[in-house]
Amino acid sequence: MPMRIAPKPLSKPRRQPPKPAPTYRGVRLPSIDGPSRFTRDQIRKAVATAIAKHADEIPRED
Amino acid sequence: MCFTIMACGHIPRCALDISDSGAVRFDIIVKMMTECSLSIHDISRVEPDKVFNLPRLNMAPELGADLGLRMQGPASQKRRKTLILDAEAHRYDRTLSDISGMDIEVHGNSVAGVIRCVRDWLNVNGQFAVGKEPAGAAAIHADYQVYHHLAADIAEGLRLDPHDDLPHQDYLRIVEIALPMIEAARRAKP
Repeated sequence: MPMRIAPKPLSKPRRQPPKPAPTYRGVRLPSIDGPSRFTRDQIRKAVATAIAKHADEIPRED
Repeated sequence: MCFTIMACGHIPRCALDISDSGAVRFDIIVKMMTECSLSIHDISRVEPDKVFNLPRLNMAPELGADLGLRMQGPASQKRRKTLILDAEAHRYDRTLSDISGMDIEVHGNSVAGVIRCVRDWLNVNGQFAVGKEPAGAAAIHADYQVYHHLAADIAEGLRLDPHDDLPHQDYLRIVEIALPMIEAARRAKP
C-alpha cells in the first residue's frame, strides 16, 4: 500500500519591511499614485542620467 | 507652485488631475475643494490674451466657491485655509473689490516670489510636526532652478514630449522622484 505523505505546509512568505518613505530636506514626500506612463525606475534612471550629465553645473549646497 | 507644494510634502491637486470630457470642469474643481482643507488661488493672471484680447476669469468663480464653502458650507468646511496670491499689492481692490480687506500675498510675478509665498503659507498651515517643517524658500528655489535646468534632459530620457507639455500626473511623479535626488546631488558636491 503506497504510503501517503502529507503535503508540507507552505511556509509563509516573509514580509518585506516597508521601504522608508522618501524625504526631501527632512520632509516626508507624498507618493503620487495616479496613472502614469512611466515606472518609478524609468523616471529614477532618467533623473540620474540628467544629473550625471549636468553634474558640473549643479551648485553645491550652501 | 506645484513644485513647492510637493517640496513641502503635500500633493497639489487641480482640474488637470482628471481627464474626462463628460465632466464639467467647475464640478470637478468644487469637488476637489471639498476634499482638501487647504487651497491656493492665484488671481494674478488677469491680462488680456493675445487671441481675443480678453482676460481669463476662471480664478474668480473658483475663489468665490472656496470662500462660499468656508462661510456657508457644512461644518467640516469651516476650518478651510485659503491662500490668495496676486502679482501686485492692492491690485485686487480694483479687479476684485469684493475681497477687499482680505490678507492676500504678493508674488510679484516671480518664481522666487511664488515659492516664498506658498512655502511660508504651508509652513504655517500645513500641520508639520516639530522638526519636520519644510525647507526654506531659498533652498527650494535653488533646487527648483536645478530641476528646471535638468527638465529637458529628463523628458528626453523618458522619450517624452517637451517638458512643458507633460501631463500633470507625470510631472508630479517626476518631481516626487527628482527632489531627493537633486538634494543628494547638491550635498555630494565637494
